[in-house]
Amino acid sequence: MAEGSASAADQVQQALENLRGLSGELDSAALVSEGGELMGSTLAPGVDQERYAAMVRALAGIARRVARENGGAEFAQARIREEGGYVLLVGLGGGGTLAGTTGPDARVGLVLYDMRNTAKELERMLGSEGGRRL
Amino acid sequence: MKKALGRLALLGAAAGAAYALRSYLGGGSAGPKKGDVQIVLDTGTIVEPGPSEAQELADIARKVLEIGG
Repeated sequence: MAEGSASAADQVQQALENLRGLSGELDSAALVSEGGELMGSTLAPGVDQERYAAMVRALAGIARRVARENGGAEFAQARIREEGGYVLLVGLGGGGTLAGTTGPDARVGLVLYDMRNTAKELERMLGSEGGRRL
Repeated sequence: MKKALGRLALLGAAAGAAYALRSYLGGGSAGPKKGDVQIVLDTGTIVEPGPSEAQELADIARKVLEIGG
């Protein structure tokens, strides 16, 4: 792996760790590319990361479809409440998705605010502000 | 006897109609309720997906929470 890309991966990982540290109600955070590649995460070591990334990709795909059916080009964010908690998604300019999970009593507005800020940081890091595909 | 059977049939029909109405209104389903799934578009518009898409999102989200939450 090239030195530059290893450094970008480290930066992504650091940004996700910072997000977890900043937003105490966030249980996990992950960045998944549009193609379904897990670019970084705070998932526990035993978690099947490939499966997790595939599911986030599927969620983002449906959210994107809903956005297009309703006159948008992309989804900016999505919030899904389930019995066990929330799954939150923030779309990145380049087609990637920042995903996060929380418990059922989390203040999701605050968590989403932190996620949006991190998404901007990730876009700058990955050079996808102008819509470059991730 | 005939009268009792008639009443029983009527009761059954009423119970069936009540069940169908409850299912139609979503009270009896375990699927996502209104407000459970919300998507903000790039235009700033907030939308709630249709029932099938909301169900699909909720099913996958449940699995995400199971493995990664």
